[in-house]
Amino acid sequence: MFAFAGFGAQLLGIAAWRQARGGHAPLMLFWLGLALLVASLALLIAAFGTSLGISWALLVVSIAAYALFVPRLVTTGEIGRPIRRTRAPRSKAGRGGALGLGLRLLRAGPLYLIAALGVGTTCATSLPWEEANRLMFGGLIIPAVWALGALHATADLDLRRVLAVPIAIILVTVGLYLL
Amino acid sequence: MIESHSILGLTFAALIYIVSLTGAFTLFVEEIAVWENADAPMAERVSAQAYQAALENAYGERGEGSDIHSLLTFGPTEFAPALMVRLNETLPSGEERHTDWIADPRTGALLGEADTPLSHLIEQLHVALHLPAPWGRYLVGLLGVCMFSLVISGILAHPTIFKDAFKLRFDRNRRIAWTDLHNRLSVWGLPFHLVLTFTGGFLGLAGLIIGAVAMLAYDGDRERALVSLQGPQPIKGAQLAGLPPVGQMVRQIREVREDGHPIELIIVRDPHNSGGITAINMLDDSILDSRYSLIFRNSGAFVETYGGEGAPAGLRALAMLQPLHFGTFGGYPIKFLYFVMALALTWVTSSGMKIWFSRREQQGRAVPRMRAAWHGMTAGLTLGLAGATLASAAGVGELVLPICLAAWIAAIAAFLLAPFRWETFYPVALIASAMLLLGAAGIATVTSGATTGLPAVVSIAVLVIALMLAGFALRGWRRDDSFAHWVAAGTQPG
Repeated sequence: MFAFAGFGAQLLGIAAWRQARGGHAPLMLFWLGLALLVASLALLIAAFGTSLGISWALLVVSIAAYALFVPRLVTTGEIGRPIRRTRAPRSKAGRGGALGLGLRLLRAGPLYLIAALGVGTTCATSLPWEEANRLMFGGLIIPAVWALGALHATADLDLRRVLAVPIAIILVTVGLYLL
Repeated sequence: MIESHSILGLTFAALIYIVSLTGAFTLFVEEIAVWENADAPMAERVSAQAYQAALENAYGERGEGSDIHSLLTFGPTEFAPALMVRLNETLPSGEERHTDWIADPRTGALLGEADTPLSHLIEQLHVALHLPAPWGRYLVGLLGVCMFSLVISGILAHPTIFKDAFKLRFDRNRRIAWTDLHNRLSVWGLPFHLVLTFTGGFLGLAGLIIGAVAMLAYDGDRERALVSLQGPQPIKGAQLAGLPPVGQMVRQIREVREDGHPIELIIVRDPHNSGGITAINMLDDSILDSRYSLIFRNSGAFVETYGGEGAPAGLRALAMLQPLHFGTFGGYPIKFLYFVMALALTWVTSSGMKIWFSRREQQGRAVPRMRAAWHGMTAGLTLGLAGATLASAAGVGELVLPICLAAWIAAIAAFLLAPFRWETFYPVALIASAMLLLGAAGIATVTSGATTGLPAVVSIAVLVIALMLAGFALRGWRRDDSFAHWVAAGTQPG
């Protein structure tokens, strides 16, 4: 019962947001949508418990939103019209060309992996928590730190900084480990 | 930020596509395995004696002089209501051998070796790209990290993320139309994509992470790290005359615990050693971490309950990763939602490439061969998996991998040989895939007895996928005049 009410509230909440974007009483519909989504979360937690309820809510909100625009996708004849040449290519000078790209990928990959392992193991060994918790936290943080590092390595225009930051992280974590 | 998104996306697009598409089907590998063994008897519960008998029967099949590492029983579970037994051993020649049998859930008698080539292929493509251990897993872990990074860069590159939340301009040029679709699928699937990529990254890299943590936190003592992460490990004990009393352990659990939680898995490690470990994994669908282990010494002494409610938060977080990644925490409703979201993620990857091809075209730097290779890769994977499904249904399991690879490579080659004909070839590949799947469903129904229960449901699912592929192909043909002319003239377009 709670579960179905929760799913319904999510669908209505997303629909309210879509109407808000359509320009009809946008502020009121935005808050109404938000209230419905919060209510749906509460209902799903009541139905399934905290962790399962949150998981259900996050998953169903995606499906509810897809349900609102997939019909248009199915009925549309063709996605987009044939393209005409209208834009000149942008300069890649700022990115360092093929060599720069290679260096970025090298730093995004192995270098930031070592940095991420350094951060993770530092957390696993140094945090003042129960052993199981700090080990898990240290392990779980490694993919996240690596992902953020890869993002930095490929987004930062300054190649020297792209090299300096992971090396600094590695040096700091090695220093903390040796202390 | 958008360039970061492009660099990472383009570098790994093909591998991400393979992992995403096979990931959608990996959600159902247990069901596919049951479909491949349609004559396996189904049951909801196995008696203590049957577990013991199944393990002893599998033990009796060991190679002469082999070193046995572990014996396992799987199921029955909601997703695979059959009993399977596995023996992991090292033969005197040094070869590692892993053998799976289907067992009778009433008596524990072995009914024959389990034949799961298709489910194995799909799972291996998803978790290791069918590459050797541990490199395949590490590469998939790297892809998980890369995808997590892509999700974050996608958010940061999209300053009007909320303003554009419902924008779909299919009537504009292809670049804008595909960008809108890519962004809408990505933004509304954001929580799922973050969870899936993060857990995938961790699960793929788990071996590396545990090794690193063990090296630094425990001075290289991997065993001590495993005790912290996985609970009690085998210790040196007296030699046992026979197998551990697993039946007695199961009876003890069922008598003492009244929660009625089903047994998902039994692992007997180091079975000749009384200090070895027998872990009985129980399913608890009221919590997200879903499972906990009751751990015994092989002598029969109960050691502890590991994981589940009351366990440290870190252990519970670790235990949540698998259910969150494979969607096993909420029965079939969650599995189907995961399937839809995984297909959406596959389409996000595909639409990302379409945006790039359109951008190149718009800039007067079209890349027809690369576009053809991309479409050959995607259509070829579908064709390869469909061919593998037919091979599995026809009982030629040893051909599943060669057929999949041959169809895949042939499709890429065909698309590359005529790069401007990809819009014609694509529906042909989909129709061919649909026909192979129709054949597979038909053969499974007629020859393997997949006419009732779960196997019949899987056959119907195969049929539905075939019809959907045919539907997509027909939709493609309607848009492609050259193909209509080809059909009308009965000749291949020049």
